[in-house]
Amino acid sequence: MELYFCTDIHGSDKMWRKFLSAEKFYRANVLVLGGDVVGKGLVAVHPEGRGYWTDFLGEKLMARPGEELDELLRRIRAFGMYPVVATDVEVGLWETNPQAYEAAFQAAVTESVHRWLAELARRKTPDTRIIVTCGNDDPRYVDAIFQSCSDIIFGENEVTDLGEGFTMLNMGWSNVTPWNTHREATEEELAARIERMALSVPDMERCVFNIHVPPYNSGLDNGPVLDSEMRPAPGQTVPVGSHAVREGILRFQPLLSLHGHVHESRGVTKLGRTVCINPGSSYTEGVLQGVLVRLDKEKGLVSYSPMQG
Amino acid sequence: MSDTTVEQAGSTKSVFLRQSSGLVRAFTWWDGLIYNIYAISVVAACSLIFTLTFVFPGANLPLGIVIACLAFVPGCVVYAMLTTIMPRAGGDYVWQSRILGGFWGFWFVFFPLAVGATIFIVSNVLPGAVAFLSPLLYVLGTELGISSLQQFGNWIATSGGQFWFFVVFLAWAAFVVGSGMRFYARVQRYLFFIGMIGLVTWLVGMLIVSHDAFKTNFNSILANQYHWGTTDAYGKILADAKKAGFSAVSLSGTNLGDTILIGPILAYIFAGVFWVGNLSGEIGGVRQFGLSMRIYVGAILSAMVICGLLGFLMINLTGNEFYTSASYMWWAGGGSTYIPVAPWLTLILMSLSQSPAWWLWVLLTFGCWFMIWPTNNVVGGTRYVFAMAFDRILPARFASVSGKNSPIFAIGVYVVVSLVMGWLYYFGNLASIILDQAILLTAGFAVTILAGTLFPYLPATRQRYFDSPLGKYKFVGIPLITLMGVLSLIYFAFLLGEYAFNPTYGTNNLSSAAFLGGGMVLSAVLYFGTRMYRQRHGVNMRRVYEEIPEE
Repeated sequence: MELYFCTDIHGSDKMWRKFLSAEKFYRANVLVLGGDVVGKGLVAVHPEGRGYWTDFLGEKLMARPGEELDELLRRIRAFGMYPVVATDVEVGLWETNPQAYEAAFQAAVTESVHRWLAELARRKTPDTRIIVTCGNDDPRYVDAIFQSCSDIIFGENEVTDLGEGFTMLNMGWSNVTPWNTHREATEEELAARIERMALSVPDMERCVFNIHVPPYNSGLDNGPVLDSEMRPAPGQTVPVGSHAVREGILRFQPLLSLHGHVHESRGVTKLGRTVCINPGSSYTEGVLQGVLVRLDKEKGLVSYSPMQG
Repeated sequence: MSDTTVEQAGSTKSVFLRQSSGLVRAFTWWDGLIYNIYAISVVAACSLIFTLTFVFPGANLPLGIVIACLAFVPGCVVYAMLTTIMPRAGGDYVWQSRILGGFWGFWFVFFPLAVGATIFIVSNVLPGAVAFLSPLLYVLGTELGISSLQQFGNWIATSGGQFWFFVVFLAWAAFVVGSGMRFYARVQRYLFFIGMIGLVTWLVGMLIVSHDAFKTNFNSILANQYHWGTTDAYGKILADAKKAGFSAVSLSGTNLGDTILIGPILAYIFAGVFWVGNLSGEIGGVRQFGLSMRIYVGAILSAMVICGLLGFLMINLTGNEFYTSASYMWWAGGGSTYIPVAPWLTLILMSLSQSPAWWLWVLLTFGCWFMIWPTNNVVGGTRYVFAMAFDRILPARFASVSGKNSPIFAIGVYVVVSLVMGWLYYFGNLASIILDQAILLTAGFAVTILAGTLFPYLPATRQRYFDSPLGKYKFVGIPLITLMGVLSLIYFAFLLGEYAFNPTYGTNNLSSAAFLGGGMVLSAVLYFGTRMYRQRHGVNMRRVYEEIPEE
């Protein structure tokens, strides 16, 4: 079995399309998207005269209707942001009314995810399993959209069958972050969630953990030290992973443990017998970082290759 | 979580970010700049490389420094752009392999830069023992009447002494780098500022001490401390060099041709400006082009000012004829059998004053730069190995990271290989090929610049380049990265051409060809051997380097 895992694509259309292409490109028969699928924000595209303009990546971009506008929207979506054609009145409302902004954001996310799933339905090979889970940055309303899609397995908070006797334990929740994101829990709660699922795993030596947050102090979880105004302190990092995840891995010793969450802390390490991997994320650069894993029903974990596609 | 680029985008009125998590890296751009100034090796410049320029007696050293540094500026722009678009640990390898293809990336980085780094650290530690610690201990021993200190000073300059000095240094380097980049950055910062105090003291000393006072002190040290048998060591060196056929000229008698020809010698240090590329994945904020530019262009211009000023003041103080004659007599006139101590750096420093307190102050403060500078060979070398292991072209274990995010296994291997190289250098025949480092460095970096030049034109990478925020920079329709790349490659072609065809640089000989050719052949064998091995285990190495198509 060839399993391809990537994570933290944060709304990037380009990353989603590459994720779908991984099936044929890497000849993978199981694709796993490990959470943080929703983008970071909206980009207002302002109508002006007969065209449109926006400020994006420090550059003022102009476009005429038609191909130029399509190209502009493509660039913004590739970067993981949601372009919204909006009048000055609408933009003013976003700035002053959080609910108006949230409504516009939810609409953009919903449209984007539906578009992704439509594309998946068009491209998916029937025998390929596609597992999607969430991350702490994903609003809860996306669960229902993914659950309604029969082409994917929405594995969040479940143990999923991978085939050939292998299972995958999925959890998108993280320990508490300074940003108060959508799926955060105390270490005790995380430990309870992991235990509840792990106890239903028939064979840990054939189980892959897909837990968004990496284990604490594993080298896969170095994040910034923040000052009182939430600004990163220059050059200072601390482990930001979860103690419960670390203890869970050490206690249950699954075959493999896959993580994300901390984009620039990509790496491989071992906790006890378990190989732990964070492939990292460079979605803003247009690069899909992932890991290709070969599992064999006799030999277990045969190989793993981090990819930068 | 998010990253700093997205945060930056939030500064415009079109972009509306939601509340979500964020991440930065262990190094700041300021740490990156310091790292790069270290990589340019001001210490090596003063203690070693400047002295080698005597082979072109008509060269104007300060002007040569300015020309060489300015010639590297276009390459710095290419590196800054690559760093902004693809900030990755093991930069050169990642950029070359993703743009030109996996084989080329491995071939031009593994031996020239990754293995090369184990040789660089050997030769970089050399000045510390010979030109820094040995004279300091010897003269202090003489002043204080401690003969064991004198003997230790003499011993440290022998092959055995140098080797053990290297072993101790390597242990220190492994400790600092293995403790994680956060700790490394802190140590680097403190030592940089202390070293800067030493540097400024030295510069001020050279400004206020007269040529005659220097001569008097120089003669006194060699007569009274080293018992060289003459009270006019200064005049003897000039006379002996002339007698041996060396044609020294004054600074006003130098010419532009020789000044340009010292470029390939100076490249040994100034090409170090590209070394920080290997760490670009660990520096926060480099996705902002301006910050990347500060790291590269800031470093080369800082080095130009520091080294140019040092070179000028040293020559102004000692006299160009004496400086080049002393270098000639050390390198071509018998070395330590001719004169008991290398007649540069420490001797020049000590000749500014006869006060042991002055010597201690300047040498210990300036020595702080030495304490951290060669360690960046370890940082760079291990980052290349880490990136290659992450691609599975080297064993996966090398990509393992410790809790401090240090590739601890890669560091261990690096230390062991460096020890072997050190042993070969001090007791074997490796010393004769040490000059080949310049070829290794320039070739490795030149291929990265070539990759940058082609980035906007290759079908596999074109879209990615123009989708990046830097895609908009053009000059008469030519992408900036290509324009700067072509300008830079002209200078690199000059450097490589000189190394290959001009015997003065000591690299166009059979042993160099065998060393370089052998290393490259072994690299190719390793690459294809690993590919076959991985293939047999079901890993398609070709796929590792290829970009996944969107459709």
